[in-house]
Amino acid sequence: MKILIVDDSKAMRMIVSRVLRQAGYGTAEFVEGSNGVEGLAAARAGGVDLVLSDWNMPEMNGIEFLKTLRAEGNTVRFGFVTSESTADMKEQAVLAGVTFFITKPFTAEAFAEVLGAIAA
Amino acid sequence: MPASFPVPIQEDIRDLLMDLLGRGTAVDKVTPLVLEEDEAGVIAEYRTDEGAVGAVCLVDAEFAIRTAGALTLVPPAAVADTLRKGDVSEALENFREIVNILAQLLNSPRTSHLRLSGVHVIPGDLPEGVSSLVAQPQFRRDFAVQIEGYGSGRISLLVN
Repeated sequence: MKILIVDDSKAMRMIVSRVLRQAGYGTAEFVEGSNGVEGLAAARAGGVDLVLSDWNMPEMNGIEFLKTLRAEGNTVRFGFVTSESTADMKEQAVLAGVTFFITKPFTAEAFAEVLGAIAA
Repeated sequence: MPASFPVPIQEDIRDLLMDLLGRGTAVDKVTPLVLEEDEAGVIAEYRTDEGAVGAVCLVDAEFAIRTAGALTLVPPAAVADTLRKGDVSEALENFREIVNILAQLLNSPRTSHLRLSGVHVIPGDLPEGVSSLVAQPQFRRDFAVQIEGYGSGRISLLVN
């Protein structure tokens, strides 16, 4: 399984990959991007099974990243991992084709629950 | 008069730090944190979408450096070295993540939306709205925080 983690914070990318390993995804391959532009390039390169993206990022934010992916016909599972998730943000994300939301701070259990549900 | 912004209670701070740092955290209420003129610390400011300062988070150097270290599992000995040097700037990138996530405790359905808008090392110049809020907040809560394996520090939340 190849998981793309997109966040402008290097610390947060490290934490997300650590928590994913704790959640049972230790054998996954992790690739990273620090904004939507880098995320898009990694997704276009192919083989990505799951995208975990922050919302607020420079260059290209998370919702623009998701909309561009879907406009290109990419149906990869896409989750937002954000410090806030307002009703408006969720509505925008659902319309754009998001798979799930996880709010920071998160736990390994939260990831295991959400990822287990979408894999089922 | 608009409602004051919410000030998180100690259980909120404890739960957020435990989830974020993935380790045991104890939080106690303490007397207001007042840093001496030459004492290092960090102030995070939170503004509304219209640009008004609504809240600040004031921490001592110990809190900033220890939580920043715990966030990315920096060895405690290296964190102790940073503390001895007293260089808060090394911890700012990680600390910014912590106070960014903390913003969720300062928001409520009844108050204007607040987001992290800046982080300032003190002693140092502060924007006018920030210094006035630090000097005269409408409400505040002050806590001593003990982080398993990393030690203690102090954090204060002040709101308009």
